[in-house]
Amino acid sequence: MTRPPGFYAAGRPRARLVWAGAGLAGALGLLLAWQTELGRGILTILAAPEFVRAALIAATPLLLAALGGLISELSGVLNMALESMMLLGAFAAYTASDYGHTPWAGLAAAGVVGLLVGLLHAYFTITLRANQIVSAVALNLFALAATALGFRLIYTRGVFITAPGFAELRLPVLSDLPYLGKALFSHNILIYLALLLIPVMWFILYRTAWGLTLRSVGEHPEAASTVGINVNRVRYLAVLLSGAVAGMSGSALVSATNINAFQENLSAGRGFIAFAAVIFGRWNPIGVFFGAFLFGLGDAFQIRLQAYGVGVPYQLLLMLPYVITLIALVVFMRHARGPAASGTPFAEEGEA
Amino acid sequence: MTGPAFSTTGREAALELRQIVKKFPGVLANDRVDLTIYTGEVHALLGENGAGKSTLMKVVYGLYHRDGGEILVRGQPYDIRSPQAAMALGIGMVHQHFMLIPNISIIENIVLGLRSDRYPLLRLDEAGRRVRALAEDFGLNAALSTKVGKLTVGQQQKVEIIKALYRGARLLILDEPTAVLLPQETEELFKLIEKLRAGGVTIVFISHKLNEVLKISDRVTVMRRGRVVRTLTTRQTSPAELAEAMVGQAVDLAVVKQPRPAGAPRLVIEDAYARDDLGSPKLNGLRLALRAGEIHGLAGVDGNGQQTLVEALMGLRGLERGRILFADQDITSQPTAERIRAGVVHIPENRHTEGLVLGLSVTDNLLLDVFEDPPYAQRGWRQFKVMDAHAATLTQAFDIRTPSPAVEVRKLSGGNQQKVILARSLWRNPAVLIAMQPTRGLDVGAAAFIHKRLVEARDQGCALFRRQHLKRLHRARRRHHRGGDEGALVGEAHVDGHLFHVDIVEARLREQQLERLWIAKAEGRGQRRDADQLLQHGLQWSVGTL
Repeated sequence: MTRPPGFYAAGRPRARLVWAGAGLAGALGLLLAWQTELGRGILTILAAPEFVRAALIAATPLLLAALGGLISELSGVLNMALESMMLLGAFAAYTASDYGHTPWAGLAAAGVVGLLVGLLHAYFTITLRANQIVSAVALNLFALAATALGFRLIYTRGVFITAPGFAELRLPVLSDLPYLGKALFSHNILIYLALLLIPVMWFILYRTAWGLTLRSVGEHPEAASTVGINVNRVRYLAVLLSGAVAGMSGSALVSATNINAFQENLSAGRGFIAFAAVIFGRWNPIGVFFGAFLFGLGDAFQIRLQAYGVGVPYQLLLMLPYVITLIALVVFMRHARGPAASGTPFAEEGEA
Repeated sequence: MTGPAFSTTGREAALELRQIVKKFPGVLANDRVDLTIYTGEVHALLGENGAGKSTLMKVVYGLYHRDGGEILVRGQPYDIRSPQAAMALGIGMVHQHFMLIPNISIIENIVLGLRSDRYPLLRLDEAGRRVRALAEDFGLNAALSTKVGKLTVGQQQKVEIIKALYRGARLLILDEPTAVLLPQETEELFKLIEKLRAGGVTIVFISHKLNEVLKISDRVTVMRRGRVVRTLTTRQTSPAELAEAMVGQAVDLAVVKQPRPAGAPRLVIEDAYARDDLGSPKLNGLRLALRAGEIHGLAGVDGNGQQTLVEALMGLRGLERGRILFADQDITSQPTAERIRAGVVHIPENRHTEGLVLGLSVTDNLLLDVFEDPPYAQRGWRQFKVMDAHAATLTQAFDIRTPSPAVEVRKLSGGNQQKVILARSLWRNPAVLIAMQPTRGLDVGAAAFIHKRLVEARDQGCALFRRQHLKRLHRARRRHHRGGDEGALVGEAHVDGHLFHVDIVEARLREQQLERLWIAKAEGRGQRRDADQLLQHGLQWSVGTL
């Protein structure tokens, strides 16, 4: 009956004018760029199906982490620990697929490890009512050190070992389409699963009693409590689930390396970008996808720029996806409003 | 409104409480409370803030667990440990602060926590069909998919009542339901209560307002300090009897106020134009003259520029056009601190967010506007002896009840917190006092004290006038309906940005000197209108007490 908030609140005359202006400027820019050799090179890169394909691959870990973060944040628990869930999940995925000889073992291990991190975060923030940011910072630092240590202990020789990865699944008929076939329909199965999770989560959040309960707990826990909802139990479940999904993002991250390898600090802040993507997506699974995809586009673009050789230090290019995310967040999301009770622990009435 | 005197003979007890005890750390909130609510009655629970009314009902609703005693619902003892258990027994509660989620729809709020026939699916359309009949019956004219945050307070209350009934409530507890309502909305609520009673719903009406209790209830139980003082049949009691039972001693509810001729204009606003934070014009050529030695009332529905006016007067907001004169001096561009030093003082509307720094001590809060001036500080060093002496004097003079002035102001009761603000505002004999809802949320005793001090200050000002040729002006600002016992002075019709202010022209004493009639004068667009004209414009006045 109620619709979740749409991603774009366009449609007002002034907004339409701005969009039209931006479109015109963009077209003009393209025309000018075509006149230079560098511009032509870049436009060729952008037009290739591999670009969107790479963007989607790069976006998938973020998408999973952000969807995980979304569950937790809708329940009123900030999950800035996504970085730790992703990194520990990635290490678990890599090790388990290496030793278990199947990427599915890695995915399961990543989910379990993420769930355990979620359990810690839930225990700190819900049971002990510790500050949610502090708990997350501690977990993130722990994850960075623990994975580095674990990696060096297990893989002593320092050579890259490629773990078994997910096979590419070419969807029949669709994968034969020009451009789209290559860009969208010949990915590994994890990417399809992640994309499928978007409508599934939307349905759970807005069409089921459990989703309503989750949202109510994040907006006004006292009100939820007076109708008999056990607020802290719902939050526990949400943070655990959040951890499991975010942990699986580690598996996607390992497979996004193309060689299914692990290295220290593999996540490199992507967990924080996922945290931002939740805000960018206005706490809505569909919006979250756009946030993740935007970063993916930036990542794919900077890799291609490096390969093309634009004569800029590669460290600067590496910054690109992060800068794009930051700008998008500032420009579009100044008035973003999240769950009202986000960040505040809940105490039953009468408790101190 | 009440029919024949309510008779308890032959009635079934819907709810019976026996020797209920509820303790909080250091406080005995309910002390062996006995209470019987009969089926189909409107039973008022009357008492000052902190008397234990809400606690008792939260015990019944399963939000608190009792430390002793028995709860009998329709004659059967039950151990109610959760709201769900209470709801299963047909008990519903509408809380003082609504338990609605603003960001989700009406229907989602109503079904929250319930299982549909096809759980875990929500099936809102199906629930909607059943809710719509209730909604129409109670005059809730909003689409069920509307977000609750977009409804008026009165509508939200209806949603709360529907929510309880939809869950099968036959006993409805209303916790201070009128505290947030406009006078018209209160009328509507009373009609709704009548309707519910006619439909066989039993109602517990928690309130600290005598007139409402007298108007709507069949029986009244008065509570004081966690105990039941007595239960009375409404038709056979009087306001004086109820007030005495509430406070524990005979109270003079009327503020004694001698008529006093107003002096020369002291604070003058000339053709003021200003906008609020959102940029919408709030003052459109407002003219107002506040005279020395008068209490000047200001009324109007929230959002008609009262806030902007006060901010402009205190220098918290600039004027686009116009002037503010204080004692014939132009102070339009004077900063706030200088205005305070000159004697323009302000009691803010919200004592928690604007009036006090909750984490600081009573002493520091009493000195909040002067702590860096001598003698409280010398060359940047705070003078603790001077400060302590000052605090001791004020806590005594204003009867601020605190274990020590060094205690955090957060730990004081609302009435004592308000007295801290009052003391800070009055001790320097201000020339102008802008008091915004100074008795908001206070109980009868504390409110009477504050009113008395305000009137006293005015009268003292006149005494000073004789000695020192100085007059003081007090401007009591009565802004909205939320003012607890100070009464509601609310106009429904309003012309954008124009303020209607209310003067007490006549103090017509009514039953037990409880109420005074307020008559309105208004100014706007530079022209004066009298009360009759305003009434023709649809502005409605209600009767309030001072």
